[in-house]
Order: sequence, then structure tokens, then C-alpha cells
Amino acid sequence: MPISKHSFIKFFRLLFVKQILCICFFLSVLTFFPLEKSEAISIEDLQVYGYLDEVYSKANNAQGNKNGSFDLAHFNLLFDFPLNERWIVKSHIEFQHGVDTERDFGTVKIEWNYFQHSLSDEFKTRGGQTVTPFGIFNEVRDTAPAFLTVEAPQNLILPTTRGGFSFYPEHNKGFTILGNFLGSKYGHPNLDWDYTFYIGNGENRDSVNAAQFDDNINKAIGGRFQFMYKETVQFGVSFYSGDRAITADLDSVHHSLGTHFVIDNGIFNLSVEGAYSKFDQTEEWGGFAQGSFTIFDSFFPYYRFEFLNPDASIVNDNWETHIIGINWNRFAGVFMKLEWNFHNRGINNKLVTLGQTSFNEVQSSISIAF
Amino acid sequence: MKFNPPFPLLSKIKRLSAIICLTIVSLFSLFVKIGLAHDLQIVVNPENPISIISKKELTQIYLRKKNFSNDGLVLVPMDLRSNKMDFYESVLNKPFPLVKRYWTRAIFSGKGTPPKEFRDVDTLLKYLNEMPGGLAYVPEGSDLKNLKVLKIVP
Repeated sequence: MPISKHSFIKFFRLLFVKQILCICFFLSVLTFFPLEKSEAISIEDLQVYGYLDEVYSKANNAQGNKNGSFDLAHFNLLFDFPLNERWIVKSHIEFQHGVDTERDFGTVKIEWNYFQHSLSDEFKTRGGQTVTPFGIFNEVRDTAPAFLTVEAPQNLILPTTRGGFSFYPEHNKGFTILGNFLGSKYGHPNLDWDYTFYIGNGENRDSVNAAQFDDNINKAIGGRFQFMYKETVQFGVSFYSGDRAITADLDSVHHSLGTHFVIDNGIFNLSVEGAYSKFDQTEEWGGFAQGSFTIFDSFFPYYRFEFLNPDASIVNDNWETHIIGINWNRFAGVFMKLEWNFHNRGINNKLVTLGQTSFNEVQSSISIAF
Repeated sequence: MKFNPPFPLLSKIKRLSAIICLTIVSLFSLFVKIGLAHDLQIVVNPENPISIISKKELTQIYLRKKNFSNDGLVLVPMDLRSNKMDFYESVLNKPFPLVKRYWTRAIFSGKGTPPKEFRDVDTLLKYLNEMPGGLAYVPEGSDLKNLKVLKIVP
């Protein structure tokens, strides 16, 4: 069978660019950055952090949690083990929904587990499993103490719960390069910027663990670039590009693009994010806008509007959510939240049942960071 | 008709006294605030070549945005628990709750690790002596031995 120009280019792109990049990352880290144990750092430098949050939610009909339930949503532990001044091993383990393996309830998972080498502020490398850097929330997707609302925007971080598909895989297994540039060092005292670029296994079939084995030859790439002006205004773009096809002659590309914008002057915060994704021939897009105030350094009233169009080719399948609530930072590390959610869906959204397109939900939580 | 003030105790003289008292209290609080800022000094390991540091640079180091000196030395900032709030509010001019929120997000996103915190000055100074890129704040009058005090410029 003759080899077409298209397939040759694809073969070259996949094998010679992405694979060589992987090998280069791997060799460069091991060769150029030797691990030297420092005399000054010992096991006493192991730092342990964690958080726990308990959530209560109740909806007015069967589209949500009609009975009202308490959920031990997260108990997470984080470990930072600095090997020396330049090397650090970081781990984040999650116990979700009161996990009970005997009865197959809840989940235990590694959110991240990687080593990081810092050559300079501008150039660091990570190897292992990381949370995909995309937009504002994905890296803190479950970390309730790090955001105001009870949950991070589900339409972007978990669109499967809104009738859509994931904009990007939750985790990346591979290599990452990242760094930050302080403008003051480069003659721009008010402008800082940072970047993250990664290459990894990308998405697999659900039955194959991408942390152990990639079931396809295609490697995923992605990244995020952010600019910060006067520590008040932030603008960023993120992208993800992968291919879930099991063999190279099949085509199951998945591309996503996102952008975000944040203004925070310490009293008022406005965060806006939008994302677009194309997987096979399905196009999805969504976004949110959130505004909040800081009152007496303790009270944070907020409003957020979320929007998701799960499939651009289907009419009337959108999911919109309005969230109004308040976050009370009672004292260091303790956050109490109370909010009202109004969900409104198009009749063609695949999660709508019984013809009930809308529902109200009250959610409350206590989050403790330690 | 003669006007009678609703609060007879606040006569003209007493109102004047109240104003003077309030002014003294305000000036005193200002004095105390300035005093706190000047009670702390920034010290580094003697191997660190720098002798002057700006507030902005100090903030970048303590928020772990700047982890390397211009000479490539790995900078290791240290916190002293008893003076932590004074340092961030009076020296760096950063509201302490804002700093806490910054670290909550940084820790839980994997972005960074806050400075190592010490309970007492002696342990901090001992550690600082062993770390070439070490940098800390200590109360004036601490026994610094051979450590170097940095001059802070705006």
C-alpha cells in the first residue's frame, strides 16, 4: 500500500518530534542536573499539609440531591520533601467521599506525585504525574479552601456532570517545563509572566491506566502562559492537544483552547474564563464569570455565572448555573460557605430527565486547611 | 432661646480635650507601628554577596517568586513565628490575611512551598549559618555572631 504524503507527515510529527522531545526531557534532567544531597537538609524538612471539607447539599427536585446529604467530600494530604535546595519531591493524595474500598465507595487517588528540579526561576522541570495546568481552577479543582465557592466551576473542570466531555484530562503523566519571569529583572517593573509546557501520555481508553502504559502512540502536549500586571491584573491562555486514537492510522484528535482574565485589588475580585474544545467532530464551549468582595478580611460574598454548550451541533442543550453565596473565613484555615445554586438546562441536554429542565440547590460546607 | 447641647459633658473645653487626647492616641499608634517595622532587621549568611535589598525584592523572595539571586545562589527565606505578622504587615506592607490566602492557593496548587518557619531565634540563626542562601528577619539586639545585616531600601 503506497504511503500518502499526509500519513508520512503525521508519522514524522508523532515519532520524530514528540518522541524525541520526551527522550530529551528525560535525558536532560538525569544528565545535567545531578542529585547531590545537602548537609543542611534532613527528614525534618518534610512538610505536610492537608485539607478536609464536609458538604451538605439539598435540591428541590430529583435533578439534584433531593434528599439532602452530608458528604465528607475530601480529606487530602500533601507532602513536600526537599532533597536539597534545587530538588524537591511533591505528593498529593486524595481520599474522596468517605472512601471505603471494602464496599467500593468513594475514591483514593494521587492528584500529583512528581519531582521538580529548579535550574533558575525561569527554568524548572517536573517529571511524574501533575494536575493539568489549564485556566484558573484546574490545579485546585478539589481544594475547597483555595476557592470561595463550595465547588470549583464544574462546567469547565468536570463538564461530564453537565452533559459534556472533558476539555482536557485531569492529570498529565510525563514531563513539564515551567518558569516565571520577574519583570523587574528585565526592565519591566510592573509586568511579570510565567509559562508551563508539558508533554505526556494524554488520554487513554477508560480501562487502561495512562500512568502506567500508553495505549496509543500519540503523545499529548499542552501549556499555559500568564501575564500579571502590577500584581492586580492577570491574563492567561491555555491549550491542550492530544489524540486518543489507539493506532496512528485512526484519527481521534482532541484540541482545547482557553483564556482567563482576573482583576484583584484585595477588595474586589473579578475572574472570567472561557474554553473551547473539539473532540472528534464534536465542538464544546463554556465559561464563567465570578465577582466577589472582601469585607473585614473575613467575609467574601460572591456571585458566579457558569455556561456550557456541550455540543454546538445540538440546539437547546446548554446548561447555565447561577451561584450566589458567602464565604466566611472564620479564622486561619477555616472556611464556612453557604450558597444557592440555580441550574437551568435546555430540554436536549442529555442529563435532563422527567422533563425537569431546572432545579434549585442549597449547598453549605466547612473547609479546613492545615 | 438658649441652645443646650444634648450632651452637657461635652462642653467646649472638654471637646477640645477630647480632640487633643484622640490626636495623641493616633500619633502614639502611628509611632508604635513605625517602631515595629524598625524593630526587625534582615540578616543573611555571610557567604551571600548582597548588602542592600529593596522591599519589592524582599517581597518577591518571601512569596517565593524569586528563588535565585542574580549570582545564581539559591535563596532560602525563613520565617520567625513570633514576628511573622509584624514582618509582613510593617516591613513588606502586605495584609497578613492576604499573605495567608496566597499561600493556601500556592500550596494546594503545587505552585510553591512557604518559607520554613522557626519558633525561636537561636534555632533560626543556627540554620541560617548553615545555608549560604539563607535570609531571615530577627528582632534587633539578637546575637548575630558573624551574620550580615542587610540595608533595606524602598
